[in-house]
Formats: sequence, C-alpha cells, structure tokens
Amino acid sequence: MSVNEYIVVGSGATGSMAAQTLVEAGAQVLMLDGGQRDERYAGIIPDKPFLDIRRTEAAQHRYFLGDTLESVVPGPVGAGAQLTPPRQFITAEVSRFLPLVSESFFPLESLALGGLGNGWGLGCGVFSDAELSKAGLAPNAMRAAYQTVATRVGISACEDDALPYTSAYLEGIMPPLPLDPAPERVLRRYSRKRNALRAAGFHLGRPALALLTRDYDGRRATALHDMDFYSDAGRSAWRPWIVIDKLKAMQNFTYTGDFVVTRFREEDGVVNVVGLDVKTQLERSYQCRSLVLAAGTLGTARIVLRSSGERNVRLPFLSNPYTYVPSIVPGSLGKAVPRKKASLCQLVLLHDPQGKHDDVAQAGIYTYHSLLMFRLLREVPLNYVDARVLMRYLLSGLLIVGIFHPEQYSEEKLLWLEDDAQSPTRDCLHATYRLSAGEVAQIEARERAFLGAIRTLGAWPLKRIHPGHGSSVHYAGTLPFSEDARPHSLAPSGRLHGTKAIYVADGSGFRYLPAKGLTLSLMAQAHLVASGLARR
Amino acid sequence: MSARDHAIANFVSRHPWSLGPFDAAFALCRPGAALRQKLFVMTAVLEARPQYCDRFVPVDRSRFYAVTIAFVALRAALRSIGGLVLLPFVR
Repeated sequence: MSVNEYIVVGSGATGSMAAQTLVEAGAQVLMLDGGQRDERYAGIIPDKPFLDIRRTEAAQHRYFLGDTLESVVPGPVGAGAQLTPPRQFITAEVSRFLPLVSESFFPLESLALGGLGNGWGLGCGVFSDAELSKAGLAPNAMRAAYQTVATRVGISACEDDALPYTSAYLEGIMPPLPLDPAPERVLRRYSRKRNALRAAGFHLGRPALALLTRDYDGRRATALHDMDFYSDAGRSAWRPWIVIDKLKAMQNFTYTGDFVVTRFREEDGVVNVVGLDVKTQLERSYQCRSLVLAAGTLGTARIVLRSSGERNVRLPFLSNPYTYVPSIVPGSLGKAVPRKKASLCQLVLLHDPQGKHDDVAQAGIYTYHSLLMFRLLREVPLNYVDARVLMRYLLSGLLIVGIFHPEQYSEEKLLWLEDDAQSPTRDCLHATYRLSAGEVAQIEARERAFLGAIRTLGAWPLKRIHPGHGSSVHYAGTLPFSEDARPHSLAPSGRLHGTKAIYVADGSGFRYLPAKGLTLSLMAQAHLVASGLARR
Repeated sequence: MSARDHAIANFVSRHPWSLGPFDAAFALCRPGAALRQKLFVMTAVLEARPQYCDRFVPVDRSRFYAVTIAFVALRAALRSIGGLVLLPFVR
C-alpha cells in the first residue's frame, strides 16, 4: 500500500481550504470524503429569476417541492428538514453513519461533497483580537489568514457601521448587494436614530458575504436571480465544491468520495486511516505521513474518540444559542417584491454594549421572498384561504431577525461516544447541551435589548422563537487549544496532543465561540494549520 | 386518519361550505388535523403551478387595500368562531 504525504478528511469549508493550501504548496494530498451530492435537481433548475421561474416553468414543483414532496411532507429528519429539495443532499446518509442521540441538542451534520458549506448562508465575520485570544487563536497570524481566505473566496461588503465587525481590515472587498425595500427602510431609520442606537451599543450595516458582485477568478458576478437557496448558478456564491473541482485538475491531489473515515492509528511514522465505504459498508484503509482532520467539530470528535478507544471520556463543546424573531415593517406592507435580488442576509445588527469588540452578539436580518409561502401559511392560526390573502399583503414587510449569542464552556455541554451494535460504525455519539441559569438570564437580557432596538428601527417584533440548541449550525470546542499536552486538546499548530502527525483543521480547537458568522474564521484557521504543515 | 378525521372529511364532502370554518377551527385548536394536512399539501402544489403563482406573489397595493385586509381578518375570525361552534356536532 502506498503512503500518501497528507490525507485530508472532509471536503467542507475547512477541508477544502486546508487541501488548497497544501496542494498549492506542492504537497501530495489525498482527500477522503463522504462525497454525497445532488444528482437529481442540479441539472434541471433554470438560470432565471425566481419570479420568472414561478410564472413560467411547469417543472418548478420538482425543485421547489421535491419529486417526493420532501419539502412539503418532511420525514423524521429533524435538523435539515428546513433545507430546500436541491439542498437536502447535504444531510444524505447522516442518520446512518453519524448517529447522534440527545434530548437537548439537534445539530446539522453532513457527508456531502462540500459538507455544510453547501448550505452556508455566506455571512462572513472577522473575529476581533479579543475574540481570537479567547478562542485560543493567534491574532496576528489569523489576520493574515483572513486576508488569504478572503482573496480566495471573494467577499462583498459595504463601508458602514457593520464593517469593523464583519470585514474590518480586509482588502479587495467588492461592492454590496442591492437591498430589498423593507431592510432599506430599516437602514434609513437607523441613519436617523444612529446616535441613540450606537449609545446603546447597537451597530447596523450590510453583511459581508462570500458572494461575488463582480466577475472574479473564473466565477460570475451574481445575476441577482434570487435562487440562492436552490442553486449555485454561475458559481457566484463561494462553495467548497468549487475548490475541490479546481483541485481535481491538479496532479498532486486525489479525491476519494463515498468514504466515511472512522479511526486512525499511528505506527512507525505512518498513520493508518480506516473507514467505511458508504455503498458497501466494507472497511478500507489508507496510509499517510500526516493526517489532517476537517470532518467538522462533531465528526472529528467521533474519529478522535473512536481512535483513542476510550468510552468514558466526555468532551466539552460549544454551539451558539440562536433565536429568531419574525418582525413586521408596517411601512413596507402591500408592496411588490423586486425581481432582481439575492436571497441572502440583508442587514446585520451588532450588539457591542462595551464598545470593546468583545462578547458581541449579532442578528442577521432576512426577508422572506425567496421561498414559497405555503410553509408560512401553516404557521398562521387562520384558515388557508384568508391566511393567503393576509400573508400576501404582509410578506413584503416581513423580516426574520436571527439572533446569535456568543458562547463559552459550562458544565452541561458535553459529548461522548457509546457502543451501538445497530450502527455501521458500532457506536453512537451522545450529547447534552444545557445552559446555566446565569447564561439563560444573560441571553434573556440581551434579547430584550435586541427587541428594543428592532422597535427603534421601525419594525414590530411578533414573537421570539427558540428552535433549540444546535440550530445555529455553529459547533466548536471539543478539543480545545492548550499549551499543556493534555489529552483531547490541540497544540496551537493544530496538532492533537499525544500524537505525532494528527492535525485538526476545523473548529474543534476554538475555546470560545463569538456570535459572528463562523465559516470565514474556520477557513482561516484551516489555512493556518495547513500552511504550518506545508512549511514543516 | 382517525375516525374523527373521517367524520369531518365526510361532512365536508357533503357540505363543501363547511371547509373554511373547519379549517379555521383546526388552525386554532388542532393544527395537525388531517384536514389541515391535506389543505397544506394542496396549497403547496397550487403555489408551485405557474397558473396560480400570482395568487401568492405580493403586489403593490394602495393604502385603501387596508380596508380589504380588515374585511378578510373579520371574515377569518367569523370562520374560526363558526368552525369552533360546528365542530362538536360532527361525529
């Protein structure tokens, strides 16, 4: 059996970024990946505006509702049920190969080519120096890494009050997307109330998005077709599969899909990487000099716990608490929806009461124009006929405000592995995630402040919805960075303590989870780990 | 479908005018009722048909449209009350 120089596990945002860095440095890389992909819908979605498709395409029910109406009558999937049919491949095979049992934590995981990056909302945020230090990351190195990653993915943003929190010192930023009418009204109101809101610690602006507004690197500027939840037309939105496609053309990169890595073993300077073929469930192994784990925080935790053979180990972990608040902008009711627009986050509202860029909470503000209305109608406590008329009137003024809270360790946020004879991997991950009374009180106070700010911005918050722990799809902290060689922790280089050549390039090491968009920081960290390896 | 759901479905097919009130009543007291599920799927299918899409897409309205909205809200409330009154009599 040949020994690879590097094996990278996972093809998501972190795996693709680590692989790109290694391959560009001339290293020979084998990527092992779950490799699930959408083979049903990608080829049939027209490259046309959402409204035009709805008015003309007879086959639209296939990708809006799904061939088996999977978007209308979701099965017992749990997390991921909210994904549109063309995105549901993201969770394919997860319940079989990545079983997780919990009464308090319901994450989204992926075995897809491109991982959770296929469903990423494209929101970017640079962590401040204070946030980086708390997370265990080196600010200077991360700043340079942020720039490298931003240059690779292409970021659009705006010079406004949000910029210091989203893309502060990044260069080469593209112009922002146009705003929908309701968020535009909110932004106008902010400019009038700016001083009062800033005095209360609130800053509103346009999000930084990994979406092109200019042609760049062989990718097309967004056509503003408002189909971002359904397709990746023109490669305007950055997705990890774009990187993998590019790497596949390189001689020093090999991609192997349909493979779930289960464990590793180090022996005589060689790492033996064992896993299961997704189709046959037969075990196979590969060898390398260095292993880079980028299987996502939960996936990497499974591999590390399984490889250590310990069943009594409880790993800590973090997931941003998340609440969303449907709100109405009265002045925007009864308006037509623009034909040319993007489906993504419109505005970000940041709460930094100390003004120190530390423990900042962030709310993303979305409209609800890019999805069909029928799901909303089910939530209205009225008959469907009248609900349709009312929602059609309200929709143009409806904003969804999603609040992310910063998160740190506490006693009841734990993961562990237990035997499970039914699972192909013969085990199952268990999780408990409970906030302390102090944390609950802090979140409550912060959300009350957000509700006040939303009212000041001229919107009426309707209610607060807590979708449960794990719904933020931000996970980190299972193997915290540590200078001491403690078991189940990472050296600053990303090396797993107690091993010689096992590196972790995802968010497993983050000791603190800021409330900002996480993916850019994960990618920057993955790049740092890989560039450290390449220099070695 | 439960026996109760069957009874409701039979009643509605014999008396189509009762669909709105029953839908409204279930929206308040039993959102998971079979009748609501069927209407949900039918609404989704209609919305994803080009010939019905304009019934779901927002359009520019004058400020006087608020009167229509008030009327629809009143009608919705009356349907809910009617359905809640009628519901115990259908077995």
